[in-house]
Amino acid sequence: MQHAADNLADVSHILLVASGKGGTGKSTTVARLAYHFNAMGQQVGIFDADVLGPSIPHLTGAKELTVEDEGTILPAVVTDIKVASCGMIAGLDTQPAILRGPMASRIVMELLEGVCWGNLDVLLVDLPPGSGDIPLSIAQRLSSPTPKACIVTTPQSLAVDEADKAIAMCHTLEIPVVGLVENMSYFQPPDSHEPCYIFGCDRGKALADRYGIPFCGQVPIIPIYDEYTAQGKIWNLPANHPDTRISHEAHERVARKLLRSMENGECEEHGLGSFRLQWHSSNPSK
Amino acid sequence: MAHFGYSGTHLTLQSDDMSIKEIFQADDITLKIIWSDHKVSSHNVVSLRECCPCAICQSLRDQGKKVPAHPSVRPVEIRSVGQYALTIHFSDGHDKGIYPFSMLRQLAGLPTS
Repeated sequence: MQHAADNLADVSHILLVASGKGGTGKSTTVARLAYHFNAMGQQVGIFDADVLGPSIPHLTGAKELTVEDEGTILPAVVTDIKVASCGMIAGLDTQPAILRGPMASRIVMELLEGVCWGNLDVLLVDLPPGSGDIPLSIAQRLSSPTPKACIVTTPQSLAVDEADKAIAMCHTLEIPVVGLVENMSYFQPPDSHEPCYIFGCDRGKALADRYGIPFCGQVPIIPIYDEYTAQGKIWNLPANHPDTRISHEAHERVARKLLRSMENGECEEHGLGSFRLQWHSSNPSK
Repeated sequence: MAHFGYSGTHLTLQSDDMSIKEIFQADDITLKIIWSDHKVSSHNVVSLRECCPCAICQSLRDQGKKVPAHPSVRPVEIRSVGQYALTIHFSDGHDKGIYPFSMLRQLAGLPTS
């Protein structure tokens, strides 16, 4: 079995997708971004770190991890996208995970570092809401490549306030925030060209502007997601449905901005950054 | 650098600008670190094994026992952990300790903030 850190050695970018508040459509955003990154020619993986409420298997239809004889864990591959989720661990796929924080974060870290990800341009990590053990463990443990973060919020004041805290968490942990996405920003009535801003307007953009974070765009409410996510078909939307066009346009725009920001917006390194030092000993001892 | 501290019942995070500029093996038994404030610390690797901050070694110290560190123990590999600590894989197989930068500076008698 490979050393844990070696499993991430060929990953170019780790993007932590955080929200602060639950229910902002973070997992759906992760899945759609993965789809569009992949369509842009990127090798993409998704790690679902929400051990207490994993959504990615439901959204994508990813079923099982493969454990090879020597203990190597292989992710599921759906539509050319590698997927691993705590919801794919035997026992946690059908039963609720009733775990205290340290145990939950240990399971998450063992799976994240234990999966053989291979060559990836982007590994999207779907963080659970809040700033608990799991986001802290992931943020503190990962050093190479240095993780970056994307914040997902809805326009409601409650969600924006929590997104504000998620940004503060990233700043404290010295994780550069490379983008903010406002999800469920508006509803586009089928018989009108006027978007209907049900939950408020531009609060996500205002938050991004306040912190100087690249605003990656607004994504409208897309009703068809309800049916297709329930069937594990977030990557198999019907080609001729108007919602599919709206989804593609919105998420492709977000994905392009995010990718550009991720590749160009290098974090300011104050020191050496990540390192690995081999010790040369004349007589190593047990 | 980020490190943890307890303030009442709330876990708080504090941040300072400590980071490593350079880290290297000075000789068979000495790890040397040049910090972002240009201060230099030297660490005897056997002493680092003895003061391993992992829960198992801490538990031994809490019981008044000494952490078993053979004089010939050496690091095999030293890696960064996030932006705030390093971990050492020792030749005796022990690799659980995460050494925060603040701890390393404290061991060397350098200011920690």
